Amino acid sequence: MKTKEQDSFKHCHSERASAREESAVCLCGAGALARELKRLKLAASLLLSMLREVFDESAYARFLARHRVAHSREAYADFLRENELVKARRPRCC
Amino acid sequence: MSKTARLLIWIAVAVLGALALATIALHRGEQINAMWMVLAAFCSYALGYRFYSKFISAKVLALDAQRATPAERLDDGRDFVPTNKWVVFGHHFAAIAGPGPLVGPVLAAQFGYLPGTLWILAGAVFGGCVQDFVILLFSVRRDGKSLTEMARGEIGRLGGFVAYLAILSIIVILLAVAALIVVNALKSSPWGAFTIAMTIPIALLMGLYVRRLRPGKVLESSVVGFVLVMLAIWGGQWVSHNPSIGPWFTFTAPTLAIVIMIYGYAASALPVWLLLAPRDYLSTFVKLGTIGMLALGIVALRPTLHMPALTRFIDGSGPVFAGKVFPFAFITIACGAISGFHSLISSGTTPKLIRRELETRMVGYGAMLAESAVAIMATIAACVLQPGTYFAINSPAGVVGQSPEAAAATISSWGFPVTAAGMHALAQAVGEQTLFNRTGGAPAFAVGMANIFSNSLGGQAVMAIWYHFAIMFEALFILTVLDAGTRVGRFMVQDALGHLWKPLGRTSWYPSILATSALIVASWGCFLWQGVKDPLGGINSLWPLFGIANQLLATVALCAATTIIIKMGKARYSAITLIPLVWLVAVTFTASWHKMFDPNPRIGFLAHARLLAAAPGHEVSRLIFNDRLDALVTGILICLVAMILIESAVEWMRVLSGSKPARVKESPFVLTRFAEEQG
Repeated sequence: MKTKEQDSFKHCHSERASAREESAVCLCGAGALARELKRLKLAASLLLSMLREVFDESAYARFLARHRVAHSREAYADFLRENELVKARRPRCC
Repeated sequence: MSKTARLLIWIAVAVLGALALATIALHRGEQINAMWMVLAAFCSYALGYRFYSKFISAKVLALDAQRATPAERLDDGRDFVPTNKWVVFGHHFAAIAGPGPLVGPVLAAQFGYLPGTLWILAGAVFGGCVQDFVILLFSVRRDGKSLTEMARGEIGRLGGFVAYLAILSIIVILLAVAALIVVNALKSSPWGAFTIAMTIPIALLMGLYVRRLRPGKVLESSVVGFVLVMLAIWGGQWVSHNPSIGPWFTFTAPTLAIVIMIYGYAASALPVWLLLAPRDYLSTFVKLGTIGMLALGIVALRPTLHMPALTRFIDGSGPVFAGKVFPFAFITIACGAISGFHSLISSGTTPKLIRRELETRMVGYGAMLAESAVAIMATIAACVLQPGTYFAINSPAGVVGQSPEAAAATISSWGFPVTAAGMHALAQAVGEQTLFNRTGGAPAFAVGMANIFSNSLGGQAVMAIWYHFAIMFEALFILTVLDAGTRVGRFMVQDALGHLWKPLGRTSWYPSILATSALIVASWGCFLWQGVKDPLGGINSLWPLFGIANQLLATVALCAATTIIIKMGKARYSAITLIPLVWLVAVTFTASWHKMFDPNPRIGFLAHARLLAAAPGHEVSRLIFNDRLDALVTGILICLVAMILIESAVEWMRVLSGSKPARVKESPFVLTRFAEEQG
């Protein structure tokens, strides 16, 4: 015959076990969420890089690095001058 | 994932693709859901990319993970920059995606949804993607050389000359056709004309914003520009209903043609940063967003295709353009299946950004698959319309009759019921005065796209806004091609004239800029004017010319690619480019023969000229001249194809017989520092 203590112990034990499982599930879930967030962040940063390349912002950043100058209105005007011929000769497809 | 699981997944994809293709190909007499088309496309692309492109990269091209690309070897931080493959993919796709894959499939839908869909899928997987991929790789292995330089180096001097002429002629014809599409979309449409007119000051404002207010913030200025364009669309509704302002923006086709020519000339002569660059940014921003939205709209709505699989017009009697399904479906749909123009991009900026050889597969083959998917979406947008509505919009008055009642009666007699009252109600719903005889493909695409968008978001109440959004989207696309193309053509003419007299070649010398801009605008303006005055709507004769010119360029690219493959000692695999080449030659030669010599005056230029000569009247001599000019241009284009083919074939024979050493002109091998990265 099961005593009250035994029941209580079993109950307590099972509660602790389920809490551990839950916590493991939570940890596992949190890990998966973190991984997903990391992936999303990577995808977003790739998308932004893609847009920056398409919209010539990366080309401007490279121009600044190449000429070792800081961003300014004059620097951007110089970049536009340098980039003008490349941009104008670039065909856009039908 | 285990090998067995992967195998099972690919078998499932193949079975699903075959089922979807069988459904769209074998269903007769009942409507099917557009998702079958989406599924067929998705499975075909997945299989093509996974197996065919892998076969080409491993067996034919032998992509080398150890070999440094020009982006790495010649890295100058300006033209040659090793760039992330996804970034290059986006860059390449933004450059190859234009109005072509939207317009061609809409026009070809007159044959039914089936011919266009099959050509888009097979043409892309076995032709267009292969062309873009191999040209990109060959350019990468030659320090980013252009197609013209590769053709000159690998085939001969004639190859380079033909490539130059082909590029120039395709640019001229393309610009005329593109301008004609805009004219047909905006004539008698104050709403559309106002919206597009507003994009010019918006672009100028963006140019000033990015140069003066917030230097370098191009993405930000594009967002601002987009918001202003949306406001212009909204304001256009008010303008169109305003009795005093509305008439200012109500133009006839000839007036619009003149306005567009003036615009093209100004855009070519003005500084790039002021108009061309901001328009390009704005157009790219709208383009990428709208294509994504259209894909989501189709998946969310899962519309039913009302167009039958095949129509009676496969016999060549079509009202949109005359000619049988072979070869005209394959000329009409160029960019969505195979486009010679892409080879210019694949041998232009893209090879200078590729970081590793292995990435040419994803960028070259993959981006063309994405372009093909856009063409499938355009086919769906056209085929969700009731066929009667589709033909009422796309048929010229010269074919179906001048009045709405006459047009409705003619179209209904073909078995595609439509009423003048129904078309009037549809025109009212989209905020237009009429939708009859709006040839060119853009209005039909806009109605289809507005239908998909309004049913997914906003309901019928916003149909007019979506319609004008679609018109703005296409016109913006096309005008960007127009100003960039005029400028590229101007540079090409300046380069050539510079050999005759040095100052003419100076791109900063204003007399030369003005003279060569005028020359290019006059060239395409002449064809545009001809299209506007053509009683058959212009598109009937000009679009096939554009298709022929574009496929000619693809022929040059495939000849160069085949020659290189043979010289690489891979003649046994040359079929990968040779089969698309043979197909294109068959299509181009047959279409050209029909366009020149077909006895049907709706198809043959010369037959049409003879018909006009037999019935003299006002403006007849000019129309006869136009027909003869079109026939002459077609003849010149086909002679160019023949010349490049003969020169290539001679080169192949010499290499295969051993009379000429099989030596390719590649840059020397250099070990890459990215070798340890995973492919």
